[in-house]
Amino acid sequence: MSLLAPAALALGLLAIPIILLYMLRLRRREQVISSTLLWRELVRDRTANAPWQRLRRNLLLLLQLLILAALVLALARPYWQSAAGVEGDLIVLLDSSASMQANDGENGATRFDVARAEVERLIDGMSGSDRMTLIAAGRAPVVLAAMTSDRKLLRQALDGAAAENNSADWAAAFSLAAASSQGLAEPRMVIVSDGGLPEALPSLPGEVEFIPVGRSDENLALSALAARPGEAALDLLVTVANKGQATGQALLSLYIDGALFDSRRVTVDGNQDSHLTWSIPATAEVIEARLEPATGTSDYLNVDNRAWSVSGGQATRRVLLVGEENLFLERFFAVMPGYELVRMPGSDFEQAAESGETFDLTLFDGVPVPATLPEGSILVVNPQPGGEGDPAPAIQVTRTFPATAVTYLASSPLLTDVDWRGINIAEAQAVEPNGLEVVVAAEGGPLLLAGEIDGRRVAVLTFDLHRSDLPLQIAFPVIMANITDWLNPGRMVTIGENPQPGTVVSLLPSARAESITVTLPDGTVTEMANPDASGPILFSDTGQTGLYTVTYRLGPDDIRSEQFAINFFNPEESRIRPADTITLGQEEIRSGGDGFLNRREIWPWLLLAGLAILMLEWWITYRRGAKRPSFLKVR
Amino acid sequence: MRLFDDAALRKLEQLTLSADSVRAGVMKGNRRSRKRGTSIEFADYRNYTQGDDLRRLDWNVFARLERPFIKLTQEEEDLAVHILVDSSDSMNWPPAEDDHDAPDHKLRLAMQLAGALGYIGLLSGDLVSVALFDSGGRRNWGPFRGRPNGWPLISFLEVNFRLLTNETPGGERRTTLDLSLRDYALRARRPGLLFLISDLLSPGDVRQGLDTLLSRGYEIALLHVLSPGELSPDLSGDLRLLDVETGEAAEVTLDPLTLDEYATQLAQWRGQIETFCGGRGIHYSLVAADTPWELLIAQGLRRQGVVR
Repeated sequence: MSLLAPAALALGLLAIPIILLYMLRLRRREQVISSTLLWRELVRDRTANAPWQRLRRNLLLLLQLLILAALVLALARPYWQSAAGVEGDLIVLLDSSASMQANDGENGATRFDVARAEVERLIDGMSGSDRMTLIAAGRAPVVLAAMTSDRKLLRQALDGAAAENNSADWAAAFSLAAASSQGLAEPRMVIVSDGGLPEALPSLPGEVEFIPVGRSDENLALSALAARPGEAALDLLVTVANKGQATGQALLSLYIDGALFDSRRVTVDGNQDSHLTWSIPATAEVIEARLEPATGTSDYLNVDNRAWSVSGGQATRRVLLVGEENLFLERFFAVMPGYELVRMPGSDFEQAAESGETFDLTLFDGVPVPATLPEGSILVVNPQPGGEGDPAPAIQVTRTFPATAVTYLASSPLLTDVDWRGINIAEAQAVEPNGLEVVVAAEGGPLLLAGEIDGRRVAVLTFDLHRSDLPLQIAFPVIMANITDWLNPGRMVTIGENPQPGTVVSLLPSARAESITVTLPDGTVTEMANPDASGPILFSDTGQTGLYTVTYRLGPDDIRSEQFAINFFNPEESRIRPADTITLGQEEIRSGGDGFLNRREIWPWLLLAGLAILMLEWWITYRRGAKRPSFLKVR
Repeated sequence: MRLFDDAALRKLEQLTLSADSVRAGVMKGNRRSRKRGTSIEFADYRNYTQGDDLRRLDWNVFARLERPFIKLTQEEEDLAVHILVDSSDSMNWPPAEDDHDAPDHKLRLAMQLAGALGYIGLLSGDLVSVALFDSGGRRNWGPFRGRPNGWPLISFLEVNFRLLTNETPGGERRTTLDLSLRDYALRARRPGLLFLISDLLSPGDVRQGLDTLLSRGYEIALLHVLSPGELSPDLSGDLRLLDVETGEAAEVTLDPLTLDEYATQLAQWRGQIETFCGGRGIHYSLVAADTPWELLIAQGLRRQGVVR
């Protein structure tokens, strides 16, 4: 039990005048009687059992002192630190932002655990008619339990709550709380948080109380991980931020495709950043950085100690156009996002091939296809027979034919959404299929072939674009997109830069994709609805940080997967310094200390007790007086 | 201020005093003794034994029956009657209000009783002496005998009563009953029936005085006069009680509980005296001061056998 106004105890000195008055009162009236013989006997008896008698004799004084004590105590406003404390309608805003995961509590308890315990105590302290609304203030504030006095329900809701990996949207949480408080006579807002509330929040209706959690601000965080294609390798930049005051040391380990690549010891001063760079092989796909605090360094937030990067995701694909200028093809690749076109004449290709430079897609337009195919996929347009003495080209042209009326259209993904009927072609080259599948055939021979040669995907358009009206048709970009997509499937995942947990990821799988599943970092597999071929699929279950694997099936055997990373790069949440006050509107709300809310003042009871004693005293006095109405003969 | 009126005194004429154990007086009184004596009034016969006075032999019976019988007659004797009145300040209580005597004044009742008893004694030919005693000394009346002394007795009492009540109590008149009684026992020449009228509110032990009196052959009737205010005190609050006689103080807080204890104390005190008296053949009677004296004489003392 503690006192809110201990100074009032000084009023206890009023006991002195009461005792003085009593002593004055006890100056006995003198009364002459015939003899004190019997009375003296009585007094002698009395002094024999004095303590009780003296007490009893001063019963009234005792009662008056008790009344005074009760009143003075009531003025001192004592309160119990017990769990009993909630009164009326309570709206609890439970901070579930990422910083609440900081485990700076006792025995490694997270702030969220502590906050949950606080709310649990509030729930325990509810009496029958008290009601509580529980709002989890996360990225998207959620009402966990709405205005209920059902403690079981509230506890269930509380157990279901968890800290997220995001900043909390306090403005939204506040408007939710304000909306919940409508129609309540005396709503009381309780904010359980470690601070980190933004400036310029609106004030809340009703009485606002703040229960702070969190004790330390020591935290080391990975605040950036970026891979950039450099010369012949990837340049990797890692930033380690120390959000605390003390200098921290940590071991930074780099894993590439699951294998440990390098480890470095980093020392970062308080409130400083440290930047580290690596050169890593260009073939690296998944890069993971792990930060492990060294012994003696406190690091209370774990979620920001790992970061991932999936390389290539954002890299543009390079296309080599071998041949003369072709306006249609160059325009097409200029318009298609994520492609970078390089053109060189057919005569230079040999040299270029020897330099070892690789392209994702090589386009042979109106030139003989070399016998040794380059790395990457290959699109051949209007193949030409090789010169005399040259090794036989990979696509052998036998003749030219003019009968280009289409006789066969294979059901192939290359022809998706393509209307071939309006296309007129002057002449085409007859080629050896060479294992390629005929997709479009005319009377004279195939017009479009597709297939694999030496593990490379190869598509062949056997006619000169300039000698057909295909480039002028709507079908041209469609068929080109189909072909490039088939030859070199683009990344399905469209994701912004530095994606945060909770970001919506747009999945744009091939139209043929079936059964898309996403494997979350914790191994959970989410199956996405079968796409309707139109528009992207939006995947929003990205609350976890880590690697997500998207798997989809194009055909019976064609299963592809792709990864993307969600990182916790959130300087605001990494700064876990707990706050003692929060500012709402113009009002600064201080925490009332531990158990601020849970005090139950007892002064009304003390006043009642005082009144009861007063009545008792009156009754005793009355009884003494009533039994013996005194017309005393005083001489 | 009269103590008695004539009508009341007339009633007394029919009464006599009686004592069981007091030896016969030296003079013939006109009151019947319990002894068989020489009066002419026949009482009984008994067998003659050797040494009996032959003058008492009933010759007529002897002539008829040839057996000697002694004729017993009533002895008539006189009685020494001592009336001791405690006239200390504690008896002069309660104090007068507005020049009117309190109806329950103890000394007045004591005087009335003394007068009544003395008058009865005088009427029946007893030797009556009255003594008022306190620390200021004794005021004696008598011993006198005979009806003509009736009025002098009453006027003696009335004069002294007036004197005593007009005094302001100032601790001058104390009683040490013990000493006074022993003193009286030594001085009195002829023991007899002794009436002690007192409130016994005296520091000494009254029992020793009574024992001395008993050993001198007195038959004692103790009239214990207490005022109603002493029997059930009409007091309340925190008081410093002052003894009117000794000036001693006792501080008490009076509440129902204390009063109950007082009542217990009083009963115990009375009980002790009563037991003491009962064991020694002392006629004890507690007299509330507001009881009319006629009633006391006519009923209370008669019941005790002191008055017939």
